[in-house]
Amino acid sequence: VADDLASGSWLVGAEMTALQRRGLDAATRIVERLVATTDGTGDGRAGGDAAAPWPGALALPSTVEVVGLWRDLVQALPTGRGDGPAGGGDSGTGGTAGAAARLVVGSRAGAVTTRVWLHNGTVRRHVDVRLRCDELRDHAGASFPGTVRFAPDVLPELAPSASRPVDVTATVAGVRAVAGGGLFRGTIQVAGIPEAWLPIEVVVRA
Amino acid sequence: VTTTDEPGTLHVEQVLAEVGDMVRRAMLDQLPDGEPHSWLYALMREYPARPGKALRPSLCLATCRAFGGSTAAALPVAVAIELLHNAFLIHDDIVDGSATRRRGPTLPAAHGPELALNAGDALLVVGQRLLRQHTGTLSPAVAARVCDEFDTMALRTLEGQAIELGWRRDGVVDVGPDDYLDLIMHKTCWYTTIHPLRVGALLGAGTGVDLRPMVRFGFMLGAAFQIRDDVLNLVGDVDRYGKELGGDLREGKRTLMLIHLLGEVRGSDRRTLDRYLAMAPAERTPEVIAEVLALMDRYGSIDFAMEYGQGLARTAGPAFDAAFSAASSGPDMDFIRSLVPYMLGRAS
Repeated sequence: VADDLASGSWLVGAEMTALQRRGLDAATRIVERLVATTDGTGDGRAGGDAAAPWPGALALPSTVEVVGLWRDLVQALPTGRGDGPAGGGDSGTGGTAGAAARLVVGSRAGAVTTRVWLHNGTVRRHVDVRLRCDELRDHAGASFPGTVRFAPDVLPELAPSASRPVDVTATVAGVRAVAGGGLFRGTIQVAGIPEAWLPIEVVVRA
Repeated sequence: VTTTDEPGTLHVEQVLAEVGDMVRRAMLDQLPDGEPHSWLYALMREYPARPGKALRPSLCLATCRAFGGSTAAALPVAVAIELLHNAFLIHDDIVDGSATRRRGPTLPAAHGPELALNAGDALLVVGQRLLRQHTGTLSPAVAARVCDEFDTMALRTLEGQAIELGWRRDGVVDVGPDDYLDLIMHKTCWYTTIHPLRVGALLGAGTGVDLRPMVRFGFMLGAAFQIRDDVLNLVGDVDRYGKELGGDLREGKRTLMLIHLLGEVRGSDRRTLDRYLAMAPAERTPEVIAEVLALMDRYGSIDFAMEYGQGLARTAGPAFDAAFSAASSGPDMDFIRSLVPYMLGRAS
């Protein structure tokens, strides 16, 4: 290995192997994302960033941009702002990218709110951004006895590099709805952007 | 493609040595002196006085000239880059607990981390002062872009440093080769290759130049160089490599080889690896390091890293052609073109 590196023989070769191509494709995805965020796409070389950046390079497949969007668009930042009689939120998930939005609510009727940030790390402008939450269920399949709502329910615009908060409120429906407490999990998704999603869990304390 | 046996090698080393001397003198000229000499100003001079590779200022100067600029236009910026680089080295040596740097003791090892940190901060201030003074002589548009480039470079580097330190502190193991490339893009490539190329082109050609191909070329060159450097840290010749072999393993650095191994290893080997990762660097004895190195060999991690990086290395040449398509041919372009095989094909 050291001899190959010292002689420079690793710089030459016939066709690229699958692994070499894999490394190059990964590097291309990363570099094009950085190029877009640093310099944008409006100047310079014609054809935009989807064009092959050098001879022999693969043009970026459309999914690459989408993967970048998935990474950058949704970030949970639990704030623990409980606003109902049932108790406060829980910031225990730490608020890192990819974390779950986590809410802790008491078993009596009440609501708790946390905040989710949408970060548009792409160069695309999104309009009418709307979040939705699928049905929350516990490990045995029981449904969350309440509702999850978003405020605002629609973001008119999310410009490139923009960040906007959306408050997520979980409300327990009624007294003794969950007698023993429970942990209910589901997924927040963004309508029209199927690759952007975030786990959500609601803890109902007994 | 040239190899190290061709005359270009000597040419590259000669240019690097000449620029290194020029930049070293200019750096030392920038450093103030007085009191407290033995606690600050003497420390600030230690790393700049030791010969380094001068890769960054050489790239900046040659790129500026290749795009029509002069040495005078780029030299203060190249010196500022090198001053910031020296400051980053001090901070790195504190964080990593390193013992030697450029064939001498590190600043924290010789003077303690507190004074070393202070001296590193002072080098940053001097570098920024030089940059501010010089950009005052440029057109406002170019000056603003150059300052933006420095801000971007510093932030990218700090982001990369944070990611790597976070991985280590939190024992993060669920990372893949893509994460590694993303890490070195931020931590290493931006300030080692991309930034000097971009500011050099700006200074030479003005704000109309397309800087995006510089990112592509700089990343392919810098990332392939880093992967090669990581491999040589494990299997190189210590006399030619010039650093402690296995030092990355001792630090628990998430190299491409370690990331590959983490994804492949099973059973008792997995437990061995987990124990190693849970150790503090000081607990990682030569025997433990040898054991992990043997695992990397057995699971093909070194071969994986070599081949994965090879795709980048082989693309650096075409990426250079694209980045410098608008530049003037001549010795500066020849130098940068020769840097590709020099950086990617030599053992030191």
